[in-house]
Amino acid sequence: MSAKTLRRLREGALGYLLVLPALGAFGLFVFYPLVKTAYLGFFLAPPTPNLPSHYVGFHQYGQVLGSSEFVSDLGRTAFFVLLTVPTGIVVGLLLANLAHTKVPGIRAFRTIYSSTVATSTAVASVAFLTLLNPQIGVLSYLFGKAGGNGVLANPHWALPAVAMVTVWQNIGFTFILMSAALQSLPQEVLEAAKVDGASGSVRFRQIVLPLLSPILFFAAVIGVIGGFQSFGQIDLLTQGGPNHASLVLIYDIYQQAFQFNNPGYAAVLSIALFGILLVLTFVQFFFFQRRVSYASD
Amino acid sequence: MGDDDREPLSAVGISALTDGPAFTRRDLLRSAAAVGVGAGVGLLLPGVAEAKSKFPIGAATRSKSKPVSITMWHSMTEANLQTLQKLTDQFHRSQKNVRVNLVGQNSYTDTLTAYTTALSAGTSKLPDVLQWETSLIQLLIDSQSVVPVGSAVAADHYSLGDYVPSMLNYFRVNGTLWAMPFNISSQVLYYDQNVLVKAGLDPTKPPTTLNGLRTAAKKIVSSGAAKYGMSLKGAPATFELFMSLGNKTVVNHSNGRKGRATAVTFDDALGRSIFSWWSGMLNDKLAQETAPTGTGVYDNLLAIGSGIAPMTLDTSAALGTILVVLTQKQYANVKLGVGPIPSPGSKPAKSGGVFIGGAGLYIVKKSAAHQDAAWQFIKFLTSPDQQATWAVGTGYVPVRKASLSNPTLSKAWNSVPGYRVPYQQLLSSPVNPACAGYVSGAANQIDTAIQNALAALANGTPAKQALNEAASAANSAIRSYNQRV
Repeated sequence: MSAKTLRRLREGALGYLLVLPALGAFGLFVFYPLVKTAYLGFFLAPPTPNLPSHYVGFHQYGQVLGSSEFVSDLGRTAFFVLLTVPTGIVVGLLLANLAHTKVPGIRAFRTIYSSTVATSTAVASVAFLTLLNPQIGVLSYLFGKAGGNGVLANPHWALPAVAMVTVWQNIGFTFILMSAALQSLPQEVLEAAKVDGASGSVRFRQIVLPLLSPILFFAAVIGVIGGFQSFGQIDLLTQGGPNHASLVLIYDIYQQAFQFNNPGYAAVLSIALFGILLVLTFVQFFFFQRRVSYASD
Repeated sequence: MGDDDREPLSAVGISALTDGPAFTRRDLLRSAAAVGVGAGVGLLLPGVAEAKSKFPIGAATRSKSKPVSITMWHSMTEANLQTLQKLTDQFHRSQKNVRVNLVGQNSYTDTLTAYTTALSAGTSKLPDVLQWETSLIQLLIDSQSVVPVGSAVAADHYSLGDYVPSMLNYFRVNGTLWAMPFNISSQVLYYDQNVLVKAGLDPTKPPTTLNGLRTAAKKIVSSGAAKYGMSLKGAPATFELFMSLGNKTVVNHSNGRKGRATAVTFDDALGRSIFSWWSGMLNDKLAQETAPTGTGVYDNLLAIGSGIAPMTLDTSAALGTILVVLTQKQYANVKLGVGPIPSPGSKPAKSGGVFIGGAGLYIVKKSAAHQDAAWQFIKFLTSPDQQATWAVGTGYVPVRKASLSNPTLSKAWNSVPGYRVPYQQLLSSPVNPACAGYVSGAANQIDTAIQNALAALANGTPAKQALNEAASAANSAIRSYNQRV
């Protein structure tokens, strides 16, 4: 064995050694639960975990994923993501642009716009729950909806209302992302365009937006994943109701696993959610990456 | 008990408000812990040992290591918890053999989660005494982790003669008594006497039937006494109570009590008439719909205070809280009345009655000494004087008839006669399968299906369609449960 091979081996071993802790953590908290969840889907779970479960192979996967309930879950989840992600990005970008000027006191606005990032989902949900309460809520009175069943108990408005709370809560995060991106834009390019006589809107559409595309792409990916996994606000605001109107995939998983004691069913839904997010992320990467400009030099 | 024993039901107005028991019904917001993708649920750990067929009476007393220390899981908070602690202290002073460690689980839902999790970890993680929500009884029986209280009753030659029969009736499945009633409530009609007077109605005679309720609501609305006649909270138990008041079952096989339920029966003529009544009340703007879950659960009661809707149906367990709120003079215009829950149709059904809400006490399959200790504690908690203390401290209905001769209880009830209403309607309920309430392992899903259907009614879905959707969703949940058990 030559000295070179030996050195390479040693370096390789060191490399593996260094990755080992991360691998261990991932294995324990990500890969093992993932495999175990997929495995659970092969069993009809008993109502309580001390009883034997029945192996049914892919039968449960077929039954759950082929059910109309799953399709409706998926439709509602997609609608929720559509309501939250584009709106969130547009609002965040708009606010970041407004706050990207040098006027006295702009820091106060920046603080206000980014403040929702420090608000937990629970706090945001409880605040909006009170605002939307049909008996005592300020928003209910403003919209003339006082008395009777409120927005959250209305099957047409429950999901949009939850989406609105989600958008509000995400504003801070998107605002910070967009602000940071705006500040790192190459000034000379913008100045050159200005000198060439490009108007504000032309500069924004032709130069700022393309230069922002990596961060927009990042916000979209994070937003879609976050949207698919939004749980807290739904649990606190509507519990999936009324009449399933806000029953998104993740909430169905929760109900099946923890309220209806059906972990097998929930496992199948979890794997489906995992698969959907995996595919969506890949699609986003391959489809959008070609249109995204990472070049800044 | 025969029909002769039934006491007449009457409505009582509460004009003199004394210090009501400070009772706060727990309805905590569940923590917003998100469920991550692929949160693995540990499974496949068998382990609850089979108990001996004969209950080990006296095992705690004979135990070599005394006192026998046992754990009780409960879902009581605030005033209820204080009263439970007081009773436990009394129990400790009354004997030396058993020590009880109270462990709070916040809510029935949290108890369900904690108990099912503990089941996978083996017997040692389980409590000895379990306070468990009434409607989840079949799930607990199916878990094979509890000893029927009936076996302790038989081995101890303990007399059940003084317990309110309809309460025991709820905990009997296939002839076996599975739990002791402990914190028991029932739905009643709450109303503001002042608004009824304004509408030209007799405040001492609130409606006793659904048709009567509709007529009264019409008068309230047309006289301009209030915007709505009443609030209808879309709680599944209200619909199920209407079924039992009409002496009809909710699921087959005698409400799941003579064999595992395989399908629902609530989509019959009575169910249809209740659904059309419900939908009519909402469509004709005689009633407003309020939320059955979440922070909106008190909206129906708040609407009495705000004068929007002067009548509603809700659990008697809320009475204590209502009285506390009323003493704060925030709603000085309200003169509260409490009446029995109305029956479907135009005449009170002769054979119908109500079933209980609340929870029972179960003995978990553990060692002989622990089972016996658990039984000693359950006996103590459901004794007449302890039940009197419990009822006064919490607002729950006492499970013993002898509790009524307790001076503290009679004093409290004389000052607030509304407390008698839920007790009397439970006492007068006949012992039969329809009035026992239904049992099914899929109870959570069946209730959700009914709740969804009631929510659909509020948004204009025709009664027949909503009922059929509820029945088919509930039936598929029952099928799925029965496949898994």
